[in-house]
Amino acid sequence: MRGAPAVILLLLGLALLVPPALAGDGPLVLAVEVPVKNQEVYAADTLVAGTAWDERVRVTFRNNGDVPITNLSVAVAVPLGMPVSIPQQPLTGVTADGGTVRASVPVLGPGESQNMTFGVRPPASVQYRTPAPFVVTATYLAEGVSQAESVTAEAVVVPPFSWVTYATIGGSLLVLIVALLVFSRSSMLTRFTTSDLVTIALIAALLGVVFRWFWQTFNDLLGPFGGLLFTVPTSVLLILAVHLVRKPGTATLLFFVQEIVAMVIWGTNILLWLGWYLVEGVAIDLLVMLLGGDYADRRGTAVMIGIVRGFVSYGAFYFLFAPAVWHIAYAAWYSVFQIGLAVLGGIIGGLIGYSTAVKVRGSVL
Amino acid sequence: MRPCARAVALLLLVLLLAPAVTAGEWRGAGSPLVLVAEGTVRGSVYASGGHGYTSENPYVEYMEVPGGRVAFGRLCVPVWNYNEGDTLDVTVNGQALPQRAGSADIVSAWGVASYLFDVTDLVRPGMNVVEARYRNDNGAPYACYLTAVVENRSMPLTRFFVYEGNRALAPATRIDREIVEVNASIETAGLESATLTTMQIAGTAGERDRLLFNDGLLGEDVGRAKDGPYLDIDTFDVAPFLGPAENRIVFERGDETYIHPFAAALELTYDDGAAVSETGVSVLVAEREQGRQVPFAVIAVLLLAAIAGGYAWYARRRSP
Repeated sequence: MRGAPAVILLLLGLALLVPPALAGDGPLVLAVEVPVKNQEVYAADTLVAGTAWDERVRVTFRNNGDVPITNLSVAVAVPLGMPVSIPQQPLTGVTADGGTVRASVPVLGPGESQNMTFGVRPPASVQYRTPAPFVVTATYLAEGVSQAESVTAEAVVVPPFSWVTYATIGGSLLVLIVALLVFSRSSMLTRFTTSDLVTIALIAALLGVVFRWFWQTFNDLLGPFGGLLFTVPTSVLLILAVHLVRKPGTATLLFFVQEIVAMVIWGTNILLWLGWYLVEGVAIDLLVMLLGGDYADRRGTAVMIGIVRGFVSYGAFYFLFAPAVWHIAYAAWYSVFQIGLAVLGGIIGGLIGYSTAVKVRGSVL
Repeated sequence: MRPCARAVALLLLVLLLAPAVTAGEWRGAGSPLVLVAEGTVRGSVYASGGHGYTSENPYVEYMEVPGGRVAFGRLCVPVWNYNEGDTLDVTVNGQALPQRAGSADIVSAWGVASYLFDVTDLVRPGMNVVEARYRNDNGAPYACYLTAVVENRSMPLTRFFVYEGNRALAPATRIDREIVEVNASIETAGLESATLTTMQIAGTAGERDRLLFNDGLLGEDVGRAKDGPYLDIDTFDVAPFLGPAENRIVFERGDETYIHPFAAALELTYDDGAAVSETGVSVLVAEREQGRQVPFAVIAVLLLAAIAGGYAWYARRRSP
């Protein structure tokens, strides 16, 4: 049994290598890619509704036999009535008619492969995650015998979650208001002083201007771990703000001001991203209140704040806001990796932030 | 000085000095679109290529160039997240171009870069294939955009102007408009068609930019990623707006957070009776601006933070 994990890992690895849709009992092997993108980053078999562009679909046909295939005719039934475009490509005679894309190849030699590419425009909107199977059928002659092959790419169209951006804004504010009401009888709620606001504004400016510039400029220095250059400083400064100001709503105000700064300096679209900025702040303020007013006063609490910020912020981005705002569906493993990186950044930032905050505590403005 | 204050001071120092000692930074506004080729030939202009930012590697683009003799070929490979350590390997019809290692031609904003290649001798009439392999952890090409002038004696007389650049229109650059002046007198008698083809990067649907030829509005929200993520290639009939002189193409940012006009090609075709003579192709050497700067806002905030930090440190030392 000791080898079992290795075998499982090997099988999982092999499973990842298998293309999304394959068929081929006969000499002809069909494979479909939906969409044609780097699938280490973007989700396979997933289209996001509401894109302004056509997503490309590529069907590859390969002769795995020992004899030539002749009179190959391939037809792809495009689901959901998606409009089709045909880009320039080496295979001539690719046509689209009535929701079916067709191509033909007179001769496909042994070991030879060709592909056809076409674009589909995802629906402007879908209410739910909607199956969008691309059914590919091929007929051909091999050694004079008529054969057929078929494969289906089980793609889906996911909604762009446009309502999510607005719901997140409303939800975040609602949670904050409820939390403030719940804790209104305690002594936790006190008003921000001028120096509190100056501290928040300064830290928000550092986040929104300096560290955003720093991250976008130098993210390649750490290769795939470039996100740490933003998540670590963000967590450090968040801990500093929470610890120094010591009032409920500090994190929400901090990230809100950060967005205002980003809008003024970099032109960030404030409405589209407001929910994303608010949700991380509200999560932290809620956490602080649930902890009974522990403003990163212990190392563990500071780390917890960093972790929650990383998880909420990056989770909201990869699973809600990237599809909603950018119409991009990231691959699940890529999203999880980035969220993990953000959590790691939160842990490191929490530790550094706590040490810094304790030392700076006596030096507040 | 306390360890904490030392750490903060060190961090600020590193932030201030980092741009001076390492590659990659805010690249400013980029370079305006400038004339790189003009002339009059019997033939046509091809300007197209790209399907947006997909992170494919290699990025493959097929281009069907009209029949004739290719008299001019210019390939632009715009990429995201350029850094000096990157390498770009491009092949045209299987022939490798010299590798570009850390030497993009124009860079702007956060690393939206243009690699430009003379491919006159490599492009051929009919189907062409361009493959771009970009080595960069967090970046990739947006397009492989070819502008080609093809001579063909059976085609109408064609006067053309090819412009290329990479201008970042954004609040951060404080540039809201890119104006391309067509510095030539234009024969309007015998004009059969006037076509403008543009390529822009990073337009967003719903953020309304504008494109004008002279005072004629060609379109709003032209940059909306309709040719692939972050890519827009458009063709317009500008004959109704064409004048004999002082023609200009105007890219307006409007509501766009960022938009980068990259290329424009103006193609005028004439009937045989027009008083326009063949001149062939003139290729011009373009002078480009290379932006490389720390944004003013970053310096200002750092200074404010340093002052606040200094004050806090001073106040703490004075407190009992």
